[in-house]
Amino acid sequence: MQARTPSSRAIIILILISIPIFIGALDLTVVSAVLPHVLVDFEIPLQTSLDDAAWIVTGYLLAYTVSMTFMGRLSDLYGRQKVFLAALGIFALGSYLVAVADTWPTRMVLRTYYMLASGRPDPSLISLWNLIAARVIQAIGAGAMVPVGMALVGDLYPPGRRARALGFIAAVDTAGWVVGHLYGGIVARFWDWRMIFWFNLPVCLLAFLLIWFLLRGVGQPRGEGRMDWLGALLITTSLSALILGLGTGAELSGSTGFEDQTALPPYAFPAMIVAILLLGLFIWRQLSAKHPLIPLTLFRTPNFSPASLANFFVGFSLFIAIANVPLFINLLIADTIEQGAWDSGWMLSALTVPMALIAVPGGWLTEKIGYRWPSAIGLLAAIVAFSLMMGWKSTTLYGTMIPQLVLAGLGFGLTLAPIASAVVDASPSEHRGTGSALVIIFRLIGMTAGVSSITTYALQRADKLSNQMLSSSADLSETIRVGVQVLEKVISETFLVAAVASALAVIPILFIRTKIKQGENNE
Amino acid sequence: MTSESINRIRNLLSAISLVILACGIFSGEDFSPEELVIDSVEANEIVTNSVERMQDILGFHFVIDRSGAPEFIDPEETISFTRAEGNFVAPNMVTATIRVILPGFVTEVDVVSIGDTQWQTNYLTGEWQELAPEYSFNPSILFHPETGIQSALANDLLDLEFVDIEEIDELPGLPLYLFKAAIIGTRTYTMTYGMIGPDKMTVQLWIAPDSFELYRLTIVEPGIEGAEDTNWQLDFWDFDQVIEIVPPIP
Repeated sequence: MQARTPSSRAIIILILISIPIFIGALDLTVVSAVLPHVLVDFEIPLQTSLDDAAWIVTGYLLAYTVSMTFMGRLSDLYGRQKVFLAALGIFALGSYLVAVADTWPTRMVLRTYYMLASGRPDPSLISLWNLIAARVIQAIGAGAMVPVGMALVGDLYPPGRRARALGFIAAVDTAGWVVGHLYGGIVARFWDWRMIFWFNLPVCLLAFLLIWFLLRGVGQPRGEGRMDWLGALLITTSLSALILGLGTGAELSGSTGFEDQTALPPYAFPAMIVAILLLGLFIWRQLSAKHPLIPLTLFRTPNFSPASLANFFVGFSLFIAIANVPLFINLLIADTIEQGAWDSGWMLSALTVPMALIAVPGGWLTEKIGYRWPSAIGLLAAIVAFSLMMGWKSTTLYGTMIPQLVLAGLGFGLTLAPIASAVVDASPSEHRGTGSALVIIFRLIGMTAGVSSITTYALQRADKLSNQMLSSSADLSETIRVGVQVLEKVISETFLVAAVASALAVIPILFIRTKIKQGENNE
Repeated sequence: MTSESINRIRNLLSAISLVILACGIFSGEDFSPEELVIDSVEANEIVTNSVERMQDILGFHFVIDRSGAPEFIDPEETISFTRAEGNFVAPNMVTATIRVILPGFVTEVDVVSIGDTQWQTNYLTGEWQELAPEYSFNPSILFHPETGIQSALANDLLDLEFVDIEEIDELPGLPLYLFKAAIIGTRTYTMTYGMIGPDKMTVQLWIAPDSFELYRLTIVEPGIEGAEDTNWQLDFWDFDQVIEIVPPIP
């Protein structure tokens, strides 16, 4: 059937499925620029926003990652068209619910609460949790579109033309989250931040109708076997418990939230234990299942495990930069939150645009000298950049910050192609799709772990430093002065953590064999 | 009747129940069990009874919500008030959590007020500090039985009229009298250190018919020269509940 699919039609389908994939990836980072705006708009106090509100970012990352792990398999069993369109619908629904999170859904939850219980929950927090739930719904759809879209390309394109089409989808996905914060900053500058999500709806509707129309009559190969729902449940709950254990969602005690925040929340350790146990069960399930979600034999192939581990650390340190730059600008430099969103968007581009631009030369370099050296040089550049960024103060000029961000971006960009190539080249041909997805998944898990653990760390340090540096008789101006110093120091320390994570990524890189010939692993 | 028919009827009844429940959740309809007319004399009597009840109350739980144009609580106009929730114990003690907006972020502080003295937790460390009077939003003055909002309702209302009987979302099943009036803002301006008033404003009061307890008071402060209005909503419940309030140790 694929062979008879007209080439122009296949190209149009590729472009069409790329549009919602781009928007889904865009929404991965779009909130990093508008988050302060959202929190002030919803009147979410800082002490809540530093923990509960982190779920706006983490919830999306987590659901996006989890969805990627099993929706591709689901499309094997139930057909690409159905699953892709369902994912697109889920993403559109989530976008709508984000845009209206503080309106009728909040009123509905409150009315239901008043009918069933006594007491009066804080409407701001109800709005926040509605927003988080809506972001999770969005991410389930967005995350599913990437592997299903890739599998669809596999069905439509002959083997000789498949790689370029898959590369196009991967590039579109990366481009989306690379420019997400810039897009968010621009929208927040000129319109209400909700417009980001309202804009998704007509695009999704149009894409839905056109994809439905164009995929009519296109062959929908169905895979053998059954969906491993137990495996999907185990990996979902394991990752969720891991994120809980790392600290996202930590409840702050006391009135301001900073005081008494000297330890991890009481459920952190049990959650980590549960995460490990569930991961063990998932591995057991994958080894014993007739049709596993993820073929674990992949991890035994040369280069696969070290490259995946390195990508975890790359994701971890990269997201510290993506989260910290807007935080630094909003809290310490910008005069207004509109200015903060705008400046954050442009400043983050200094990190992400060079990252995207150097990816192609990085690929060329990999072909010439192998995986190891481009990755190691890139990580070294990132370590140097983060070390320089540790010196940022509220008085630091954008002109000083930009070259350091560019260096970090170039460094990370240089690692992308060799790590991805190492994984894909290591995967046997029948598992190449899964291997490609796992590259992204490990980076996303690293990002999720980075944002949640760094939130906990930053809170505890801010608490400790505030109590050390502020006298009990401090007035408001003294409090603000000390607050600025505390934030400078805490953000500087998180850049140190990012530098250490980048250094840790070098260790598995050293275990990567220089070059595997194409087909060496094709069983 | 076959078991299939019974199941169908059961499913139909379940669906109808769900629709009724959903209508209850989504609808914002007023609750008017019967057409009721209360003239201005009766209205004044009900509001007077309500004020007297509020003056006799031993304590209550309250929420103050502001929306619309910002109202600053410091002379430099950097900290704007958005919400306060806490307990009042007659005659002049309050413990509350106050939510404020500072440039770029929102934060909360705890406040204890005993008469004119007020303590507040530091924005950064959470340690208790005695508050300078110029940073004062003092709820114990606002709710003082003799000189607080009760006295403004007793003395400063104009053109009081009965509007309807309606429920508020927070208290399903409890019909309340709804009154509307204008209020002279000078007294509220003094008791809130300039936050509410001094111009003429519009108020609405939701009063329980039997107990005369005031469950909700809204105040609309018109914006100056076309600026946005400031809307205040004060909710009260747990009447006569007394909690222990002691001065914090700074």
